[in-house]
Order: sequence, then C-alpha cells, then structure tokens
Amino acid sequence: MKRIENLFNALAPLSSLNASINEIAVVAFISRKFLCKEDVILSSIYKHFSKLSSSTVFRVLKNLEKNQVIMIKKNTHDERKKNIVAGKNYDQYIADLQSSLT
Amino acid sequence: MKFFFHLRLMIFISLSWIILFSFNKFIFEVFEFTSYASLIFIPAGLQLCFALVYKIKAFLGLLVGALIIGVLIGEPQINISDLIFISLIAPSAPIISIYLSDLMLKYGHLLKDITFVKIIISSIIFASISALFHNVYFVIQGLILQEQLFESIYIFFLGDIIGTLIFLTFIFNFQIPIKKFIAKYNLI
Repeated sequence: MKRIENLFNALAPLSSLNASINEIAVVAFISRKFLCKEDVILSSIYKHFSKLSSSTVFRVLKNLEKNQVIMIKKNTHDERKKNIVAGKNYDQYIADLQSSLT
Repeated sequence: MKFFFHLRLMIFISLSWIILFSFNKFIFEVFEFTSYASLIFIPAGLQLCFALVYKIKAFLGLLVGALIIGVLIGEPQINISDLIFISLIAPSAPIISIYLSDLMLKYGHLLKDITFVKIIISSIIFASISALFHNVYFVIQGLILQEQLFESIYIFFLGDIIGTLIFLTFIFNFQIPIKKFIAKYNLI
C-alpha cells in the first residue's frame, strides 16, 4: 500500500488546493480571532457557521487537530468551555494555504 | 496463497485494461488517426501506473488484457502472429520504460522518492518506446504505409502523453475509492 500512497502523494501537483472550502472557512475564522487576540471558544465556531452542520464543523476541527494545526484545550476558568489554540503546524499550514491560493 | 494473489492481480489488471480500452475506443473514436493510433489514449496511463506499482508482476495481466482486446475489439483481419506480437508490446513497453526511468531517475524503495516530474518523464519515455515499438512493427508487417510512419509515431506519442495526463488526473481525484478497492481485495 505504501507504493500506492507514494504514487498519489507524487500526483499532488495535479490539485492546486489540498484543503476543502469548509476547512478554509473554519481556518479563516480561527485565524481572524487569533489576529484580534481574542479567545476562540469551540461553541462559538459552531454558532458562527450556521450554514454548516455541526458534524461537518466537528470533522474539520478534528482533522485540523489531527494534523496539529490547532489544539483543543479545556478553559482554565470554566471547564465546560473548550478553547482553540494554535498547534505546532499552524504557521506552516497557513503558509501552505496562502501559497496554494496564490 | 501467492498463486491466488497473482491470479487476482492478473484479473484486476486485465479487466481494468479491457474496460478502459473499450471506453477509450467508444468515447474517443473520433480522435483515431488510424485504427492503431489515437490522439487520446487513456489506457496508456493505466499501463504506466500498473508498471510503476507492480513492475514485472503487471506483465501477465497486461498481456492477457491485450490478447483479449485483440481478439474481441481489435482489427478482424489481423493474423495470430501479429496479435501475439502487438499484445507483447502492451506489457513490455511500460515495464521496460519503468525500469529504464528507475535506473535514471531513482524512484527509491517503495517509490518513496517519486515526484510528479519523475512521473511525467517516465510517461514521456514510455510514450516514446511504445510509439516506436508499435509503429516499426506496423511498417515491417505492412499494417500501415511507410509514408505514415512518422505521423503515426507522433500521434501515438501524443496520444499516450495526453491519455496519461487524463488518467493521472482521474485517479488522483478518485484516490480514496481506489485505495479502498485495492485494500479490500488485497491487491498489493
């Protein structure tokens, strides 16, 4: 299977964009909040994307968390809330996204 | 166990080769220059990918597929020796070109060093070898006129390159079901 994986990875230039539109929308929302130095609360993302189903948003966030673009942490003051913070691959992800969009 | 793997692989390769060849003939018949050369030949991409992934193991599947195509959809007036020889080129050209390009470009263990540019160079090598082998044989056997040789080589070459690019784009977009299918039937 590794041979097939490597073959498909090599074909990546056939796609100009690796991220989905939903992912870009969620990342754009998060990065705007980061730029304004605001706390990003998990529930606010679900509320903001009323046109997307919560399962879609959840899938996007899980994918971003898996790729270490973001980290989901419990709020220190209120354990019912979860905060989103930048993961170790966040800067690289934004840079890749920008280069693929230009 | 190994026998069944090779049997499954042969059926998979030959069936996909036959299906794609028939599809190409049906859809892109308008681009055919002669009954042997077409300006769009999508199965070339399939041959290249099978040769890349399975190398020599793809030989039997491609050969059986080419023989069945020759008997069922090929030229009716073709004789048995031509059929066998042309069918032998179908697996030989991609496998030779893959070994050649691996030697020059170094794909690495399990294709770990493969890149898009290397795939394109391999497809150019494959298209050249395939066009040359086929057309020289066609001229020797009188299946095409000598005056048509260079034009036919050019059409063959271009058809294989265009077909390969279309095929690569297609499989890239359908990589998830393809991977699932390969894993399900244990084809690697």
